Amino acid sequence: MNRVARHSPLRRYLLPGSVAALVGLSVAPTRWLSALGGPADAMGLLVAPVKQPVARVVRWLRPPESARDDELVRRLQDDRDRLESLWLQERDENTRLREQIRVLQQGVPYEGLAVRQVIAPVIGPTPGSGGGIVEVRAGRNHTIEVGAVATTTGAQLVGLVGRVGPRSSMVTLITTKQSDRQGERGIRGRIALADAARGSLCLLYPQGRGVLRGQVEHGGPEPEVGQVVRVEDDQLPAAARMLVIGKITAVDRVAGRAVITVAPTVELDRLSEVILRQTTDSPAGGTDGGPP
Amino acid sequence: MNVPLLLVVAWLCLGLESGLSSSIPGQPGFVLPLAVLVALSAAPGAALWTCLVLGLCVDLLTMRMHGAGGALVAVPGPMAIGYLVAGQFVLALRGQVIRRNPLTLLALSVVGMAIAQAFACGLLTARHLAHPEFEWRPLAELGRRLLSALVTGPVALVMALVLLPLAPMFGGGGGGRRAR
Repeated sequence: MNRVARHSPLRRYLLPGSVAALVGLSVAPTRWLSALGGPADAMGLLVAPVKQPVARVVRWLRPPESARDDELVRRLQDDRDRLESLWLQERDENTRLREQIRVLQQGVPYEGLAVRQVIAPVIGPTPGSGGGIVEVRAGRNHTIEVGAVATTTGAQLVGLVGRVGPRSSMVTLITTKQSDRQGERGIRGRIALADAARGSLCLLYPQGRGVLRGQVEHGGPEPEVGQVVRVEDDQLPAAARMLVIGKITAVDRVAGRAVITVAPTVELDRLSEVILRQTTDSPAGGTDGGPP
Repeated sequence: MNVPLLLVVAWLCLGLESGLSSSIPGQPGFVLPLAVLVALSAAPGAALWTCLVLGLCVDLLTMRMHGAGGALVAVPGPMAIGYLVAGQFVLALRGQVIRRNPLTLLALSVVGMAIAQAFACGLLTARHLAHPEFEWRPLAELGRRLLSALVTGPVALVMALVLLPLAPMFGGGGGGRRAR
């Protein structure tokens, strides 16, 4: 390359110009950055052949606690948890349908709800997330959308899909602490009592150490260590209804109110696969009032 | 500079950073030691561009939460600028150090990572101030990232066993005056 080309203005200003552009992108509005999803997805695909085997080796070296139990017992526990969740969901649906019937008698059309499930292997945690965001192998190719619910093969809620790529998605775990700002959204749950009666409601916030913590509402039975807390939150997708948030590991009293610490029943950052539950609306019967 | 070899090694380091970093306490970096090695060996211009591109790749692999809904977006720029500044730091010091010593790579990786993370934290804090929906805790993140810099040292020492023999292929005659 001759001396003139080496010192051309373009070469001289290319690096400073690139730096300026990157500084600008660092503070650019989020909607501008969403257009860069393509390069980010491409980079993820590029490193996946190295990332996934590495993550698999890490899981083999540090298996979750549940894997050390007897395999048969674990499967039976998964089946029990899943059937219990299904039963509670059906009971909850029954209550809702009774209310729907009452409304139908006033002429309001009925709308059904269906949930589609996709089994997605876990690729691994995303860098810089401290294990709080995991990448799973199911994306737009499986018609997964942002907001889909991730669960274990039992009934443990794992998290919500925060980003969808062509072949993979990012799941934010329910124990991932987002910020210290006031107004951070927690997860509303209900403590399940031993006789399947409905216990007290609570609002749980992630603490970032694999647990959630929050106050129990007044008036209900006193919470106890070991009780299961299930999702009962209208702000979450319907596919998350009655799923297990975790078990109570500690009960404290703060200003006269019970404050519980809840830990998921499995280590969410060491799962090898999750089930993505995507809610689909399927109108069932009724012709009045709907769009053409 | 042997660009194909650099691409392969960078690909492996990015995969390790992506798949392994979050599983190790402290979350060490696996890409920065490579950037430091290139900065020790290559011509200044090539070293700076390599650091910039490696940092940009790390940015594209890192998802950051925006908004109460938890939307995940890659923010290009913070680590790219951080790696560039770390590379410039190594360029300024490389005449004073023993380049083929693993302890040199350890020390420069720790300091370089601290510099890179500090700059990245600054830019991300600026982003948080400009766009409050971006989930960011400045002090907690700075502490965590400085810890990451410390933990990167031992990782760099292990990586030196593999990378230092490859250093001449990353050099391309950099680090000294060319004979005219």
